[in-house]
Amino acid sequence: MSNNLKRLTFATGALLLAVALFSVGYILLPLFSLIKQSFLPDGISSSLFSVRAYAEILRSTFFEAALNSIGISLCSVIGSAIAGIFFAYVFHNFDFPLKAIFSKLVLVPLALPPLVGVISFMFLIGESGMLTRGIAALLGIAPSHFALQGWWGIVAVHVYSFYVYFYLFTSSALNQLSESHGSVIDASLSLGASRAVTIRRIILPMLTPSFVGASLITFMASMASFSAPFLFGGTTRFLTLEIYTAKLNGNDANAAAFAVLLSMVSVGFLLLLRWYQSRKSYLRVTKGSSRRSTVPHSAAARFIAVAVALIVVGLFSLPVIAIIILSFVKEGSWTYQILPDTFTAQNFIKLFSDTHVFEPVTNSVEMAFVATAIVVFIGVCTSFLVVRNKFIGKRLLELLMNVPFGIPGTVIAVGLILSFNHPSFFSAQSILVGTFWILPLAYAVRNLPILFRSTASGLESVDPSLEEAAMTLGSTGWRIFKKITLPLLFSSIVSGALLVFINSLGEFVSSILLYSYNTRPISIEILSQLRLYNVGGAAAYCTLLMVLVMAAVGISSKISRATLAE
Amino acid sequence: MKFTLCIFLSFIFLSCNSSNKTPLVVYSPHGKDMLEEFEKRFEKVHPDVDVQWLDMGSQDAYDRIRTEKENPQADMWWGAPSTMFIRAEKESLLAAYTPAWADHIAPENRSAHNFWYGTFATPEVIAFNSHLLTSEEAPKDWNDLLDPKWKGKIILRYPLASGTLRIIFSSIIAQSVKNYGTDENGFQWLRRLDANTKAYTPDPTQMYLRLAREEAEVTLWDMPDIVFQAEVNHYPFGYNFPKSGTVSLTDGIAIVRGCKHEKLAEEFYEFVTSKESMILQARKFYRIPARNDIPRDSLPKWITSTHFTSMPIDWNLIAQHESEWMEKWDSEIKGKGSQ
Repeated sequence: MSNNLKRLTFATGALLLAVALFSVGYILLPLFSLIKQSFLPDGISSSLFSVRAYAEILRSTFFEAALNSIGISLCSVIGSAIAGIFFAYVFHNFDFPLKAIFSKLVLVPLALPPLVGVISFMFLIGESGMLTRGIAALLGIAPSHFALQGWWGIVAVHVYSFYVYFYLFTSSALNQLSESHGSVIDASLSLGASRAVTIRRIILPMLTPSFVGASLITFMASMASFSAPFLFGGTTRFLTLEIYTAKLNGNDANAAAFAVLLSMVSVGFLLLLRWYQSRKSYLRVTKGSSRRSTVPHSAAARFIAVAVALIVVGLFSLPVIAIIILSFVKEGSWTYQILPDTFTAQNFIKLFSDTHVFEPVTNSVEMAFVATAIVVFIGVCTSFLVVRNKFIGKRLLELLMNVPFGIPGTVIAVGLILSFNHPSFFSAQSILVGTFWILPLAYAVRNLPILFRSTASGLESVDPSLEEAAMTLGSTGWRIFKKITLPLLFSSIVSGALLVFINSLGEFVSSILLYSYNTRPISIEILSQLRLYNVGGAAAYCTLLMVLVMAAVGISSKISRATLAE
Repeated sequence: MKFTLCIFLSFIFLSCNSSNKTPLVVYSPHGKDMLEEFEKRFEKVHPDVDVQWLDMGSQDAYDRIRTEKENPQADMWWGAPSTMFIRAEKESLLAAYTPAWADHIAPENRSAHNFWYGTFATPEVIAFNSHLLTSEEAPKDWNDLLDPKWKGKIILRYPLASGTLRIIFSSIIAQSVKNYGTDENGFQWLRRLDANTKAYTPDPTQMYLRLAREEAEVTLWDMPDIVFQAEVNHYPFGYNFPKSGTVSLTDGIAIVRGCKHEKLAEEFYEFVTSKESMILQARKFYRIPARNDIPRDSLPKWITSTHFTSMPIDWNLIAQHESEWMEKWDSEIKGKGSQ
């Protein structure tokens, strides 16, 4: 495949410069300040360079925590892959009543940012959760016997939150596949290949880039996940919790050393996947065909698959329902009862009588928009450059585009503060800390890998000979990109952008370090309610956030459809 | 495409709002309700000022002030346990200021060099679910907590992240150093407490909920919060002061070194710590004033009827060793007490 790569032209060179500036200024430098901190155990103002922090953590808890983190992340990848790919397959291949609604419901976990998800899980499957108490009452056993705790509790939360990556990546690849490549599937079937062979030899290989991308994102997200281990982990050690603990004790160097090693684990996984992918060759989209083709199944298989999918989708909606119920529960009224019994609209009345209620909402929407715009521009350019061109430093650029998702949000925020609380070349000589821009920037840096992965894997499955054909027919670079590449990639870009937008909308971990009064996001408002022990109020705000996310999902599918129609 | 662009541009326009008031930035864990109240009151007296409070835990506030050291964003830091202010003072994060009432506070509740002053006293208590236990049945002293009958019935806030629990744990070790000349007895005590502890919760809200929802019966927490939950939210909570004496934590206030509006910060400092404000904070927000010149008859009954013995504590010893002790607890004791 390397013989298809192009040398840089003037236009792509300019793009590369923009992308390189971004990744050096906003990814590499903050990372560098983190690495620097890990080698300065006596504080960043001292000049005593030492590996003491690494020696300390390697001697004490690092290996225990790393083993747990890696184990949990691998389990999360496997679980998410099973759920996500299954859903994508069922929704792509089968028709059933109310499919449109159910296909939206599959995306429901997106509506629960980690902060909200953790609360709803506690009220649902925690020891005194609605489900736990309900089942306990039915079976007559003590609820503590089957509350989802420890290792499996964390995996459950991760699979719930991350299977969407597999679902979205796989279904956009399946759409691309059947829209432009249905003839191959039909040919395979009509030449007598069995269904299994067709899936194994044709469909799966074509989906490989998507699986690799989703596995990487899920692995990194699990490694960097903080809320789930914190809530369900009990006293088990995990890398993110060790970073937090070291920071709480004012031991910045140890925290930074933990973070550096955590990032190295994520990078190691990335390199492993790249190596695996490079050993496989796979079929690519070669020519357009308007026929939508699917693999036929027997009626029984169809029925079972759809039934299982719908039941699981129903289960997956429970946390959202729990939050909505909670937002109507009277404060302090639900203690020993199985289900809450005193309801009130007071939480919403109080919420909307606050004159400032919509400020955090508009703030979050604005910041998420800016972040998504940055990510789409940088992400699409970079994936185009990396997949289609050859230049020096390509591997490094690709690495930088992937790393941020594997770094906990707090660490990125601290890196940005250390880099931009003084005038810098990369902030046009102004101070970014305390301004509007630093938040979208942090969101963009953290989420860039999502869009980069989804676009790059989309691009990898588009055959460059399509673009070359256009070129021989006399089209210029921009026109080819606009008329051929972009339309083929559009569903990958939109699904990636949607994830970025939603992640930014409810972002909490880095926001808490970066926000100012004029830029306070929704998540901070939810936390404020929780800090006042106002769970009902927090749930009401969460419901508002879920409505916004659903609106974003609706708008994105509208954009997707409108553009395809053009 | 055009559709997307339109939405995008309209949001950029929306974001351009400016005001010509002087902003005063306050980092505070005191909660939205109390902060909003004092924002309104202060802006009424100073109509040209825009009080911008950032509501966050005291640890988050400390983290931010530390990372923003080169270019401070906050003017005021209103609220954190005194041990945190002692650390901040050592790291040169605070600006000295002597409030008008400096003589009306005990010397251990203020910085010797005026870098911070105490605002509230928060005595720690043994709290329990009053739907399950009466005050008689609940543990009445520290050592009662070690009784095997409480095994699996104690729930605690994750101590490393909680000023309250850090102080309780550190005080127990400090007592051991004082009485036996070694920290070993203190750690032994904490090991036995860990053996009885069912879970450590990530945040106070979950500790409350799990206690109220009968997942556990007993916890350690501060008294004003427990009273607030019982009286305002009607949670089934009661409390006992440990008989042999309890720890009382001092919550403080300070001006951030190198802040942009130091004069204004000083005015805010005086405003929120005035007699009237302290009385309002006691009545409406369940805070016990640290100033000793507030007339007793103007304070609510839950404060004036409270009597407890204090544990004598060497605060400097704690400020000096707290991190090291908590690190040791985290790596050697957490989750291993029953082994």
